[in-house]
Amino acid sequence: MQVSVDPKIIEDALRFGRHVADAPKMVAALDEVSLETTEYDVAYQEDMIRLLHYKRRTEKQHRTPLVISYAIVNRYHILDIHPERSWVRNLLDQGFDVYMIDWGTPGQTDKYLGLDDYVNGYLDHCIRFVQRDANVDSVSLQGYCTGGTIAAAYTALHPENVRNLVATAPVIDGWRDTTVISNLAKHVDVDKMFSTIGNMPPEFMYYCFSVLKPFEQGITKYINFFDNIENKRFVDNFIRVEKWLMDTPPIAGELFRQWIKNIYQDNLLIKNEMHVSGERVSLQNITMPIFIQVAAGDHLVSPECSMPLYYAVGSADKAMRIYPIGHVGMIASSLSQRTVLPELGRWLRERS
Amino acid sequence: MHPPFLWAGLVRMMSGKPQTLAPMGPIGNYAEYSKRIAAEVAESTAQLKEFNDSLLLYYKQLADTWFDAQKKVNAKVPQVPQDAEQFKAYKGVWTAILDNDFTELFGSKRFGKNYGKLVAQEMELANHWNNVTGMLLKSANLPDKKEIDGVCRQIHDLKKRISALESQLLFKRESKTDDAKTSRIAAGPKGRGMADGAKAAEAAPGRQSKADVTEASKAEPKLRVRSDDAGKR
Repeated sequence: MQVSVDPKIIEDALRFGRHVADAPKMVAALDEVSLETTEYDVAYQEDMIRLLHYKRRTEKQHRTPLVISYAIVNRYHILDIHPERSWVRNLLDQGFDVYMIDWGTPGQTDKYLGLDDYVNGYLDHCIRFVQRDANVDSVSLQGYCTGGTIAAAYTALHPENVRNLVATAPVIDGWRDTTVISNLAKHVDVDKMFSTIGNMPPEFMYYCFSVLKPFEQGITKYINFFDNIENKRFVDNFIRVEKWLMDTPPIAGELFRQWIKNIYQDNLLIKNEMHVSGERVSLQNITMPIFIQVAAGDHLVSPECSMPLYYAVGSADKAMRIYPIGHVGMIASSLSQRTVLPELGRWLRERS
Repeated sequence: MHPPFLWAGLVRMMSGKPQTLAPMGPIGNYAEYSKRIAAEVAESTAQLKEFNDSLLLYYKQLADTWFDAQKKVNAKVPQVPQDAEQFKAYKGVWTAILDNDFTELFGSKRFGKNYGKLVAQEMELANHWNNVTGMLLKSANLPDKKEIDGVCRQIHDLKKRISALESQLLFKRESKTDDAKTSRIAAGPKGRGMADGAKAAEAAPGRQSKADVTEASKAEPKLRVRSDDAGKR
């Protein structure tokens, strides 16, 4: 049998090899890339957390400020990672006054920080700061991913401080979550992990990321990168997201322990049985307008995990949107600029 | 020194209290802990066997999934790709099938159970190592993990107490003013106090931006803004 090989395959292989060899000359090193694109002030700081206040980009601003509670996994940069794909910049351009919580990097001395510290402590302090800073009674609160869990718990405990709640891919119903992350979370002995290593190290999170679509994310993605290395726009975006992915802070040990137990193992939040500092968190207390954003292709927080929030809250004014995109794509993609953010802006504008 | 005195002194020292000299220094302490350290090492060796069993199963699960997925790929794409288009299609099928099968594995109960066991055993090993380190630290009169954990816990609890006290102080101060709205915000309906947030906000109307953050920090220490952190980098 004679096997003939298409010369184009050889040509592609040679080109690929050339791109790999030339990559260091063509691509900026990770530490040369800045992940911050929009200007901000550090409005408030407590321990390791910072409240960032983004500079306005419109003459007129809506009355109610928006406070974004970013996730406790990875950093807030993804919401402002590129001028053309910036969640924050888009909202500023729509006339919103945007604050963002940077949860910082917990050290070993912070291992005892738990849900109470984040919900009734840091988040509460930030919101009260904004209330005074903007001279308002209540704010709009957006929580993304695990930040959505914290925002939902906060809103249930302090409903009078929140005028509108926006939950973007929130982690709510751990038992319905069909993702790999949820499967691993259900089987780990978090008490033992906490007592042995304290804070959850980034390496553990990297492992969790590595088992999500391992071949697409671990091989195809990098082949695509080298194939497109001459495309400056593609490379710029790729490097920014890679840098963001590789910059994962540890998670405070007690917070991680409570989060895994309460959400994934015992599923207490959706059952209205979760307690923060002795107080029961009832999602029925969430009676203000709520906007829930779900990504149909989310392999980190499955739609089945986020959607129950819609049915669990006590709000009469509630809306849920499901987008044909993934977890990160929902907040940092052209589709988010084209569809997700304009819809959020319209909904929020009417209530701000 | 006169030789007879030297020998007398040495004899007295050797026959007198050699056992009391040992516990005085780190070496003595180490001698005392060495038996326990040996026990920890022995236990961790036994633990290592269990860990290796789980690790073996972990890799077996990965290998089995790989071979099964590859069989599926071979069944779906029976021929060696001959042109660039075929090769591209082959890559697509390969990635899709392997991703699908591995996601199924990682999402399965059997994988989750073994993974949980693996992590727990790793933690046990780490605990043995912590115990050995703790004893070495103790022999050098240094605090071990348990004591450092206790200090961390105390720092955490103290921060909470300070936060609550600051909140109470602020509430009392604001109660004196006749600003009902401000009082409500400061005291809060629930919660454990607000520490610096409200205080910083008290001075917030003239909140400074990147250009004058240094001045802001000087003028209002409660508004903790660092010039190196503020603004676009």
